[in-house]
Amino acid sequence: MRKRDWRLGALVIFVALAALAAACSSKSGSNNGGGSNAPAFQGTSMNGAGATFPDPIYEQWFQDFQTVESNAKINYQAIGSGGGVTQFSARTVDFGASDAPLQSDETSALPGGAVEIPTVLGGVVVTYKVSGLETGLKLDGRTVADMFLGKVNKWNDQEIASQNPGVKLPDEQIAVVHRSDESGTTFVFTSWLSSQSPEWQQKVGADKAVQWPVGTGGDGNDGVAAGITQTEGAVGYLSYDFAVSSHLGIAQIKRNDGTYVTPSVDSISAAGGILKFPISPDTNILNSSAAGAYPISSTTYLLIYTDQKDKDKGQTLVDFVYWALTKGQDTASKLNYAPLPGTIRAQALTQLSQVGYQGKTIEPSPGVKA
Amino acid sequence: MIVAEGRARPWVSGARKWQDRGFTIFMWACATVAMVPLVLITLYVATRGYHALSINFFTKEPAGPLDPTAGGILQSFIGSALIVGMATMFSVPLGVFAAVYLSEYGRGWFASAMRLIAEVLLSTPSIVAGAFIWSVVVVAMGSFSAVAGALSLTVLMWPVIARATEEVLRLVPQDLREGALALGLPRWKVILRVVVPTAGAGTITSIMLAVARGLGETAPILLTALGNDFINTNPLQPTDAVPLRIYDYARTSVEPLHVFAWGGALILLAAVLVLSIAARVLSTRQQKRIA
Repeated sequence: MRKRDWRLGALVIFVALAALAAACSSKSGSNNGGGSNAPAFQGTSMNGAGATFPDPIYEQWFQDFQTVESNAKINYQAIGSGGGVTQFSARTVDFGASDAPLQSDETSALPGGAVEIPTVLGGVVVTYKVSGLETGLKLDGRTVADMFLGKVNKWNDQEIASQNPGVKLPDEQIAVVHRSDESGTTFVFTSWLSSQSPEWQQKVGADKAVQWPVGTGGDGNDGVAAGITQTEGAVGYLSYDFAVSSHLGIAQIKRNDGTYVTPSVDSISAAGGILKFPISPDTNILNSSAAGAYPISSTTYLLIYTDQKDKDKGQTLVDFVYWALTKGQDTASKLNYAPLPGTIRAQALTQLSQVGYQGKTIEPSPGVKA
Repeated sequence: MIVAEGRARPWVSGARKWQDRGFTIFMWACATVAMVPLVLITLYVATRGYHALSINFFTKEPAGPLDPTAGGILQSFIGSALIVGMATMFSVPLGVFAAVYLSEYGRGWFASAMRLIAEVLLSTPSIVAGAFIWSVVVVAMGSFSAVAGALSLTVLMWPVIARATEEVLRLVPQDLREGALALGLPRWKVILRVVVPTAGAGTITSIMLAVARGLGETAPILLTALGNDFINTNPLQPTDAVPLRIYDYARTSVEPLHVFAWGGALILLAAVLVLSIAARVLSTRQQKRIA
């Protein structure tokens, strides 16, 4: 009997190994060879992951870029900025994406030098749902902070009324809706609140997730949008693309110079004018002094290793970024993203020259420059 | 007295009848309430999802968010088939042989330990399986891949197969084994020719249930296969799956994609329902056969 036991065990192991071998052996063949002698570079397939915020524009760009380089099948998965940095750092993806600049501990954990290239701009929008109250309510930073601190808890509060003469404000409770998950949107919003209200900075501060004094949480921009839509008297914050698609009331925000600005592709784009290179851990475009700029604006970045390990992938990536920063910018506003201002595009392109292969800068292919 | 007794009896049985009726209604009500969510989910997903079903939906890769309906999610269907197919290939031998061992040979501490491990794995949150495979396979290989996705599902699927199959194998009457052994068959032949075929339908049922579980998993796939906007048939490259696509599209600001998410959910639900019903039918047959 014991001998038969052994035979059965051997069979188990054999079948398992056979299954594994079968799965692994089918890998061969799909790698198309080189292509360096081809008349024009047609790109290669590669993978990236990261920020959720720019996902729609990136998906559109990667689609459109295939008309420039037909083999450039660039797969981008929106797993969040934090995940993007983690996977980029573990080199499980060819490039990463993040809404926040790399922090110094993140940079030091990277296996090689990397460059952060801004691609599009976005804004964080204060949205509300109050029946009878039209879009365009005027709010300054201190009022927004006081609403989210629970100090201003009625829509007809003096703080709101004094900024909106002639607007009929209802005697209604304010219901705060915020993000419950870690989020770049929350980081931008709370950073701005901290810049506007010393009390906010002291009691709550700025982070991807904070201890909210009042309100209910929603998971993701979609969760917050749903929360506001379902609650009469609700106020919350959304990234600009979600604010537009949710059809909620959008607040005008007071700039440091005293004027009120409505978030729009143009006003967010204008805010990008103050972007400084190279990108550092505390780079931001909040409270931009540029003319007409929306105060709660932010950038999103592609993370690219400066020393590319694969020649074709490096070339495809450089070509794509060059194209995205030039022709691709026109597509941004169609999906409610703000394009980079012209001067900033030029500076971002100079950053791209840091990307090289075996110590030599990868020049964009003639195809994308045409 | 006789008259009094005659009156008393109908009174007692009346209360019992009332109790009996009450409990029967209560049980019916409970069973109905338990069914309500399934019916509601099915109807809701069907009404929301069927708008997405078009030729493009089944035959194309995604187009950009500017014109989503020009594309589809073909790569998700292919990816799910690839990942779950491989996972089934890995977990069926593991699960079935583990079950044979447990039911035919399993005595002592090793068998108890194995049962315990299978049970612990059964109740492990699926994201743990994903995180584990990410750290040992994805990082080591330097890439997300369909194989990694299949391995993470295998961790979740083999215990389902092993435990369910063991139960079915135990249902095979001892007389059959003894009869076969008495005829001079070696034990391995008894297992291969008598025990396993008798329990065949039950084994297939357990495999189908495991496949249904694998099809619907999102978290482990997210951490191991990543997802892909293009059709990929290379097991060593990132690969899409239907649950991943649903998760992705349900959370975007591009409204037409929400419809696609419902469409994906509908197909997934239909696939799981078909598998579960098939498993149910097979297991009913099996019970009749053994009885």
